[in-house]
Amino acid sequence: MKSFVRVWVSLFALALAAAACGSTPPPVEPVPTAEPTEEPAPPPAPKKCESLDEGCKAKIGTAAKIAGSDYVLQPPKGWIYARLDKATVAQVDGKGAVLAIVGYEPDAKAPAAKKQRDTKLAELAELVGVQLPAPKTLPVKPNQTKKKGEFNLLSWQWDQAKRGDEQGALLVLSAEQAGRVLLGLGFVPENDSSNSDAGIMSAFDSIEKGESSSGESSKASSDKGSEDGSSKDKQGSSKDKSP
Amino acid sequence: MTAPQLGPGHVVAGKYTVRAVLGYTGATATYHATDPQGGQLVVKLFDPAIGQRADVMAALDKSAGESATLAGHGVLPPLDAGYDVSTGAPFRASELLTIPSLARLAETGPLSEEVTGAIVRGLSLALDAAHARGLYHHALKPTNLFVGPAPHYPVLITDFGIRVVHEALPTQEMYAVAAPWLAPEQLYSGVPVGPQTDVYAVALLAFYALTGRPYWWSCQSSPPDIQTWQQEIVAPHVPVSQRARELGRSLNGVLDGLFARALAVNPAERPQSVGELAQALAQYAAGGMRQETPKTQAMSQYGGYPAAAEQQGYPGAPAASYPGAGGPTSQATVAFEMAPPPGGSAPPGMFQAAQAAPAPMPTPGLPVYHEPPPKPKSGSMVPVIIGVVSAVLIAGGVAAWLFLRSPSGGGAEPSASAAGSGSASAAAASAEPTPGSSGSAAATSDAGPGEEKADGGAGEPDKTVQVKFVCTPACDKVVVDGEELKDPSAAIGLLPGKHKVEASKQGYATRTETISVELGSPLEKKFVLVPSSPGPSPTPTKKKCGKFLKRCD
Repeated sequence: MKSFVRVWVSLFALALAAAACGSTPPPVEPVPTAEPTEEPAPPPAPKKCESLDEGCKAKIGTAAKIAGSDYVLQPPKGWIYARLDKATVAQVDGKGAVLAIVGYEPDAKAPAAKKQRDTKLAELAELVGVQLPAPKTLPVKPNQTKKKGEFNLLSWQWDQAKRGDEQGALLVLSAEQAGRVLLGLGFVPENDSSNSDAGIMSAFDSIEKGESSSGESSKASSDKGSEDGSSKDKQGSSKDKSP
Repeated sequence: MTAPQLGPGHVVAGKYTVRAVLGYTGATATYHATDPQGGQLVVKLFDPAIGQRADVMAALDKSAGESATLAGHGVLPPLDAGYDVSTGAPFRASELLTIPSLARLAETGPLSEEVTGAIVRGLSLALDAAHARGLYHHALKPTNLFVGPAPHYPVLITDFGIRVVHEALPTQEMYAVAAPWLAPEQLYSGVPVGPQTDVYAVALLAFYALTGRPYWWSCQSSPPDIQTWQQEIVAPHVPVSQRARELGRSLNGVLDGLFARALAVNPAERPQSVGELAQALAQYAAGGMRQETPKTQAMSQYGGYPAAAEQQGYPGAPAASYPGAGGPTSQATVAFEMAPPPGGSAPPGMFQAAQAAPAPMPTPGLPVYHEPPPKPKSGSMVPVIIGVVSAVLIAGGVAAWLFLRSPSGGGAEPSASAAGSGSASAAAASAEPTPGSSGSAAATSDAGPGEEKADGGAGEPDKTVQVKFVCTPACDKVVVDGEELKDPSAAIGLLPGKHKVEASKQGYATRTETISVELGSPLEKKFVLVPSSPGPSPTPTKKKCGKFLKRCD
């Protein structure tokens, strides 16, 4: 009797399953198909940062190539920078704080080298519109000297420089090694409260050897990680921190 | 254009080979050099632009000639002069001294009073002799003042005439170097420079010697804060003892008055000669009111300067401490006249210099430097002294009473200071009668018989002179001989003689001057007031912060 019942239950279950499987499925909403896409546009070309008009804005870690040298420095965060023909320049805007730096090969003779340095300083000052205080030549004795890596760092400070209508302090840096000088100036208005002078000193302190590069790209500033994200090129990240 | 910057090996004028740079002020560059015979010397080159200035070159040549006549009086004259053809720069060559400069000596710490006094005495011999010839230095500083060994510490002054170069071509570097030692009249036009300009510098050098630091707060760092210094130099000065304290040094407060006078903004108020300043310093020392922490140790490394027995030069001088130290020593010490050996048995130094000095000049306004009366040796003298003083006072009182009772009122001329004190108020009262004027006159009459005449006693001619004080901007207060004028702009009558006038205004530095009033010459005295600076920080630990290298963080 038990086996008879077991057979009937099995048969009933089979019949139910057969009925269920044989029913018509409910209508299904059609799945939207993706539109056919065009070929993706190439990313914008990295800025060369060879003109301040390009508006390359530095962020932390941005390395700008120093004109006339194969060294780089990190401009203060948020400053517009460019490697011009005559010098690498970084500034907040057309007035106020600014830094400019250039590399050159010094004259072998000391008197001529001093004159050359004064000339280069005058050119840098003129480039960024800074008026040097009289007598417009660097004293023989710097206000500070220190050694960093292969460079002797000489610093002078003048407190009566002007840029536009603003009077302020001027820092002149001469990073010197055999056969190479990096001459930089930094100007900060007297009433500056944004710590720009510290930013300039940090920038000078960040000078390091850039990666040796060839071809056209070597002329461009190393726009690594600029704030506008136009390029993520990591050019110039050498570990050789010279000065 | 600046003075040529030459490297080692450069040959100046075809004969002097540059060895090292010794100094640079923009308009001048000083080098250690050797001549063809290997002799060591100093060559100073000037900006080629100086060579184009006939007036400056003539003044340089004149000072060189004058200083040659002072070679035996502590002045180092140039040995050679000319033009360096390769740079177009005029140059002067002089002996390379092997004795240390004051700057070198003070580097290690303050000098003792004895040494400082001897230096000032030596300076007085040299400078007063130069001043007598119409030759002024006006560029004294610790690096052009060289000090010989004990026991006389003779001095040698270099760079006579260099001031004309600085005046012709003032540079930032020059101001940075010279600022701590310049006098106000060298900055502000209108006040002539003269011997008192050197007196001012000597006072600053004396402070430097005694403390090892410049006096001006703005000159404590290198380079000095020139803008602040320009204000500080004409603002009321901090007493030297206070400034010394601020600098962590010790200086007897009794020196305050002496230095205040020597550093007066008005040259006329300063000692009239360096000798007078040396004399006043000597009086101070003779009075026994000396600073309690004499610091003679600084000299020891230069061969025992403080030791009277050592006269053989600088055996202990470090070879690298100053150029030429490795060569034969004390060459320079034989090239000039030593201070005359003092007489008596007192120890050498400023005290003996004081004894050897000429007769003391009157120093009005410096009562504190008069030697204090000696203390009685025993108590038995006290009654005698009291008795004598009492007798003198009684006799004086009787004489005064008789004098006042005489119909003419006596014929004695009052001293200028005494008469001035009374006459100022009296004259002011007469110019502007007030109910209190009679009281004022009565009060002043107590000071002595002379004032009664000044009050315009019956039948006496008016001996006062009309004096008017004009301040720019207008003064709030004018004080004459200690008495404030009721109307600072009104003319007052003053007796002939010298009167101390103080002109002040809120927010401006008080000007104090001694005026000389002459009978029959009405006087209009002008005061140009200078805005007062905020003043130096009372605590030396507070550093002035700035940008870049002057940041405080």
